[in-house]
Amino acid sequence: MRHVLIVVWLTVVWVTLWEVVSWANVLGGIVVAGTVVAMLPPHSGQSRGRFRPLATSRLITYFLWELIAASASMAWEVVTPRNRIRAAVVAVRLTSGVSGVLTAVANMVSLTPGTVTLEIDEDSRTVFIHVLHLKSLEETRRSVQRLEALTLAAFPQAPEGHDKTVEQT
Amino acid sequence: MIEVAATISFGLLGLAALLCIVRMIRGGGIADRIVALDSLLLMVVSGLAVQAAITGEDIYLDVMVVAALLAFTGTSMVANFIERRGS
Amino acid sequence: METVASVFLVAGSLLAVLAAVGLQRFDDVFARMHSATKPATLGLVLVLTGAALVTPTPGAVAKLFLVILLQFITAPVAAHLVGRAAFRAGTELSPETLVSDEVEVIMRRPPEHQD
Repeated sequence: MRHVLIVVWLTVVWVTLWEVVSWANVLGGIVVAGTVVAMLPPHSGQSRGRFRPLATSRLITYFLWELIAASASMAWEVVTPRNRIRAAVVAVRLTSGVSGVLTAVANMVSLTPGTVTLEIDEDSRTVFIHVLHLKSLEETRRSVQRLEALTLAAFPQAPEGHDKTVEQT
Repeated sequence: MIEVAATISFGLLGLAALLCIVRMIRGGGIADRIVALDSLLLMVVSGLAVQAAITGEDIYLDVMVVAALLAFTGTSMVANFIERRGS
Repeated sequence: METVASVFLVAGSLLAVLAAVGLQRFDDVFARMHSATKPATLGLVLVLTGAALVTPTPGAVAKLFLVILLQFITAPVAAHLVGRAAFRAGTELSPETLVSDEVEVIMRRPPEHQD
């Protein structure tokens, strides 16, 4: 099912780039998309394509707000004279081991105020973040975990099977 | 109205591009330079979009898509290079 | 409609200038990446949205939004790749950066060689 969805999405992108919806374009798109998917098979995902629209819109709103806040805080950074620089690299452990969730959170972290993702360790579900102004380790961890919680609410994952999610001890 | 905005836009983007080039020259290592180049390409993409909007020629949009893709691909390649060779 | 688009264009360009100034202002690669991802991406989104409001063709609008989507996905990944590579290659962090030992160990692992 996942393969079909990806082929459909890629074909849509292909036809968009050609700007003309014709049989030639659609068929060509399917061929190209099919070849790509055959050569690079997608992960067998845990989420089975489920998503909750309300939670997703909440996630998107939060994310857009954070992005705007990030640019505002960058503007402040650039203008104020240099001092108070306390950069740090922080390790944050997430609860879900699903690579899709890890990737989504890592991407969003890079676009929120003050943080950029440097490294992801899938085995230990850890994300390493470069923080520009460290107020406290806890605060950084909490904001990342908030992102993760919103993501998990929007895209619920299948219950623990053979993924890397670990029971909370 | 839109013409004025586009002109201002081009001016600002040009300024930004110039600053990126300065960083590319001053640098500090390959990593700084590739980050500056990536930003420069983003300015180019924005400029192309404005141009396409003003003139209505859609060809600029195709160039824009390619530029955006190349920016990412190029940056990844250089990152791979840095990792193997040291900066 | 045109007014909104004009505002977006100018605002987006201002953010682009901000991003470029940030590149000058910060001391080390990692801080500069902050500047290259966040304001640059938002600036691009604003400029492209402004352009989309003005172009008549639906195909053009779709292409612009496609590039915006692409940017959201690739900008953080590019920053991640460059940041990780720079860290592993031993780039100097700006002197006040705090890095705990365990973070050092994990991040300074030798690069994996993909086959």
